[in-house]
Amino acid sequence: MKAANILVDRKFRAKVADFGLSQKKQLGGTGTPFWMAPELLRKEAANSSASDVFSFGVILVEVYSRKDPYEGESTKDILKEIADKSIRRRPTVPDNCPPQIRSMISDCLVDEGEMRPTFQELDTRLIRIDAEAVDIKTRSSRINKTVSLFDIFPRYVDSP
Amino acid sequence: MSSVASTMALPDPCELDPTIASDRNEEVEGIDSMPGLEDMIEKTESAIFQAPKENAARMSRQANLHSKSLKFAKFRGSTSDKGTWKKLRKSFIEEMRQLSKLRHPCICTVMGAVIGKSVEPMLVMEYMDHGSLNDLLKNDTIVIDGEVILPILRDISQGLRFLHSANPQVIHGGTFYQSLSITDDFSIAVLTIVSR
Repeated sequence: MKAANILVDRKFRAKVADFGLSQKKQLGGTGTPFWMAPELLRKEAANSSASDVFSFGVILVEVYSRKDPYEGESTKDILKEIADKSIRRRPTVPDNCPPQIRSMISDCLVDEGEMRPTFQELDTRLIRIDAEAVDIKTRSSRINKTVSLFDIFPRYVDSP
Repeated sequence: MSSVASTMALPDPCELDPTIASDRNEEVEGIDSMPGLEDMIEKTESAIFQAPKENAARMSRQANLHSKSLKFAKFRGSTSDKGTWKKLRKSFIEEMRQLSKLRHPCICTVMGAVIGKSVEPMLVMEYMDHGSLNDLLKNDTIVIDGEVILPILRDISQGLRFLHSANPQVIHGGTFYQSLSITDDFSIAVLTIVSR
């Protein structure tokens, strides 16, 4: 599961697509498994609901960075570092990420599958958060907040 | 439902490979030039299954709500030898039947599948206007604030909650990554079809 497998309709509601397909031909180098949980990379465990939770954590990072995870680095090295229990490489969480989402990301990206939250838990956590708290603070939105009409159009008449 | 048949491939990993992408475009054009979806389904050697009646009503309602057109997701299948092809075909149909039974507002409904002689197997799914979340995030002209992203995140978690509690449990990434073969030094080998 990755951001490319989540489809968005005209009302900006998301739907999960491309689930549960067992026959799928992939060509070398095209499907980059950055969304894969470390236990899968180590070949210790088969796919489980916990590995989907890990992928969700990576998607959260994607949403806030608006970039592919680990952009511009060597795939081979990164995968090795993700799987390595002593390094535990994870995508860097951008600074604009609100604290609630940040803690959710770190919970989802835990190395041990059993320690990760379930989607039931994530669901209730997401429901409790309100929209303002998860605002993505981008540079453009900050600029928009400080610029007022008076900066563009000078005020000719002083208020009493 | 028959009004518009839009052909759009899922933004799949194959999108990254320019050679595959161009090949895909050609095929999609081929489908486009055909008279209509129904005709195409009749003409090609196809596998369309009927959803249970109560689901069919809901399905059409859902389709009307979101869009009247259908979405084709491309599916890459093997055509190497006849025996394995037949086997794969059978398991593909069985699997599609299973997937089409999964209905939830946060799940992209699989309505059917097309297996043609000249075209590669395809999935018929709901049409989603904004494409994938990845497209949305990479589009700098779209401002994504908390009010947009929070419902999306909730939808993802609800969709997966549904899949995980389905009987039998559906793991999203599951089968996709099963087909990945990763060598010990983490270089990704060329992948082949894996069937359960």
